[in-house]
Amino acid sequence: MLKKTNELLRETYYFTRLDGGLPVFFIPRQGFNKKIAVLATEYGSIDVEFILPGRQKFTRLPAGVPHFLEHQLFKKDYGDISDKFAANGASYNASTGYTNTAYFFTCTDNFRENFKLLIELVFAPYFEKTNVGRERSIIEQEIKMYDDMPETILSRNLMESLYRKHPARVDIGGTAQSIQNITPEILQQAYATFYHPGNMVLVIAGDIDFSLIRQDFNEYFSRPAVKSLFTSESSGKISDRVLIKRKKVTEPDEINEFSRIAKGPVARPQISIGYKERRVGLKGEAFIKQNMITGMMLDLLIGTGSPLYSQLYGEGLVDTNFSFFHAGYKTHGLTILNGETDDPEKLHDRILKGIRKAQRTGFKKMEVARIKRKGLGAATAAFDDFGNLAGLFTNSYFNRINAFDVIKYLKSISVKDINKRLRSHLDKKYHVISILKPL
Amino acid sequence: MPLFEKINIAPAINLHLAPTDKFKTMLIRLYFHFPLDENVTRNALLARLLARGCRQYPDMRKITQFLESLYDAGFSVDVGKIGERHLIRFEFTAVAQRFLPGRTDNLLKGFDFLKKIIAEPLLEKTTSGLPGFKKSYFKQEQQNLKNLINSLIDDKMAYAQERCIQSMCQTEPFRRYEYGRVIDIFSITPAALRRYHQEVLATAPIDIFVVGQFKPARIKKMARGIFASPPFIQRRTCLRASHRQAGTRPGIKTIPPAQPSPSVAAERLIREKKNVEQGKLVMGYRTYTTLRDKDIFAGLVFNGVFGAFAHSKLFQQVREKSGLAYSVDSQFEKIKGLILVNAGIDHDQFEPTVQLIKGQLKQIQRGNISDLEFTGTLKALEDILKSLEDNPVALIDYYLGRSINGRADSIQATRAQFKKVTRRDVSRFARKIKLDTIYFLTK
Repeated sequence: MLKKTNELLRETYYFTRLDGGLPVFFIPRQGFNKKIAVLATEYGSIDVEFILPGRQKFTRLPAGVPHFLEHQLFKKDYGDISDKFAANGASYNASTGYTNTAYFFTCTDNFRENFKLLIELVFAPYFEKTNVGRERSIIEQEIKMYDDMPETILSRNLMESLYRKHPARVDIGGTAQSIQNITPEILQQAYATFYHPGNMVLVIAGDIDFSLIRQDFNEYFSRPAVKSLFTSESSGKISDRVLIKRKKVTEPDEINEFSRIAKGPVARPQISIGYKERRVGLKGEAFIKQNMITGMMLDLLIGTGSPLYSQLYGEGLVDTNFSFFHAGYKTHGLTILNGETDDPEKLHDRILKGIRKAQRTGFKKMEVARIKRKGLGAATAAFDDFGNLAGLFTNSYFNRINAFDVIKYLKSISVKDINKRLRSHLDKKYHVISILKPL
Repeated sequence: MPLFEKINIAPAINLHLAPTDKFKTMLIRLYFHFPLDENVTRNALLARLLARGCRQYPDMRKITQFLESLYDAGFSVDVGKIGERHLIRFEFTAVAQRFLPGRTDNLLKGFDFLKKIIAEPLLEKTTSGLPGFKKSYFKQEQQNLKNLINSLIDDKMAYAQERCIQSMCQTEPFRRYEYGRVIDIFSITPAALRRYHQEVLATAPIDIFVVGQFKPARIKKMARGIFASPPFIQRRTCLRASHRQAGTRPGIKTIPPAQPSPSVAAERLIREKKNVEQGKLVMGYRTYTTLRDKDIFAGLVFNGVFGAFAHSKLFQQVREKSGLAYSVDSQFEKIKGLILVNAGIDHDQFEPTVQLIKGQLKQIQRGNISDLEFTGTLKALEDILKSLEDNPVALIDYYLGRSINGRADSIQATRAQFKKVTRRDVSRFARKIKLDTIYFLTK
């Protein structure tokens, strides 16, 4: 078992592989009652076209399969596995994103029992027609719930404007229409492709005896029914590694269309401004650093400490609900700025002017030092929250970096890095707007 | 982790300390308490103005730069209502000193900062000659508060809940929205709000919670230095060392407990039409039970069986068995004593859903409670209580709710109370509650 310690954070984690090649991170939390386990697979809504095990050609599945699968794994031949978590007093849930799906629980008691349930939840699929039909109507209501949220309409229009072909154009849950075509067979195909332990990661944090966890997992995994799921037909053995062939997404740098203006049940106009990432496909350190640099750059540009934000607030164009973020994924990325304002066109114009001005002058050393201090504090504070902590390790693993290294990366970022990114990423040519006006 | 130590530092000003080195961050939360009366709008506007800046940190830039220099310290101000009590809440968080380079004392800086924000606002002379809040900020925050109140409709489920409460509690203080009313905003003036601000500092009950690594004696001394002085207490003219007291606060506001729920004569049904994809159903029940009553424990177990969790009857029947909803749950407002059921459903499924929900309550009244529903609820409640110690914010919420209701129950004692609840208690509780209002937001 590999042990890593960080002096500054006063934290330690352990890494090892369990049977089937499942990588596992264990972060001890002495003195805490709460415990968490997250089991995640590198399979998300953008994975729509890939080669199924044992086939030669690409198969394209309907939008929304990973999310449907996430719902459906809770259903077993005896009923819903949720009941068993509930009987133990655990909190449990799952979530699907663009690039991965995560299953997790938190509890204060019965960690081992809950952990065994998590393994069963993920490694004992049961896809049956009636169950799938019932789940479909629940997911339909979920989609309708999101359709009533202004932010869904805004972001959907924004994504469709930014991207021409990329699967991120479609909501993570798919559409009311696309989910009609999802069958037990399709769920099975997706499962067989992506739910191999070699494509997954397990993160555990808490005041727990880790040796028992290893024992429990390996015992469960040695059951013939489980083992057979991952045994290759040709060799008769479980391979530790799995090679998944996803169809390469060919998305141009150019945006699809500049603007979308919609009407909806909102109190006053809302605007989303999006910048399309062109530096995609970075890996590991370069990828993580680019994300960090962009976040810091945006904070300097338009965070509450910036002259631009003060100006916009003073003009009454933004309010405390103004928000912005950058998100980088495997094959796409974007920066989004969101505001509620009586005059969206004016806000858009002012932001563009503010960006041009910042690009001319650049940020100063002092400002960057301040924002780096902020980053360091945030990276430290993240360890107080179990969810953040597990998320940090899951994402670090999928990006093949050491979770503790984020602090090293942060320190290495220079004024030049940030100013360069300011000038390249926020290029007017690659931005779109989405506006939602009251009916 | 130790429980909060309560120290009275001046009349109706209490400090609650939980020293611990468990966390990487420390937290200060300071609450001003008010009755939930016609002043809600003033309170909401005051909170926004104080957050805009003070003499030393006159704008958001200066505030943010100060916070960033402390390695991502956090600061926020908001209002909230619990039961028929209104609160203004100030929060300051910062990474504990031992994880940071240098020797600055973040907790000391946090206290000093909060004091300045709360008591030393930016003032200007108004046309009447009296000092008032800075006019440009005042006008902007009037506008922002108006927008905030109007934007409730953007969150359809929150809007539906608020509308249900408004009509259900139309003669009780609880009807008031925590951010107030648009029509009350523009009659407030900068000078009148400043006068109100001074009155608040001198007369509102204050609770200050601190969680993190510190020496209690130091924090007590610091807090006394700030809050046992003007403008929080009245200046004493002849103060001889031998008579040194905490000082006085004449006119302290007392906050009455929530009004008891009236009896329900008949169910009220309200349908409101808006452009929504999905219908939003809210059903408001009166429980005649609050945190002041012993029966609250049976009530919380009842709510767990009924709708608080995914193993509850509502989620199982409305979602899992019937596929009528994705989201369906019930929430217990423990200080006013209401239970609100929420569900997002198709427009044409109103009748069957309401019948199904009513049917679930009948089942519990008849004693039809499964092992999973009962023991799962007890275990989930136990899990929530045990997790409190790992989350400073949740811990403060827990103590605040209890302390204002005159209960000093430790987490241990609360756990023991839940263990005493029987299925019979749950059925009895179910027979006690009354459906008051059904509200449906539909197209």
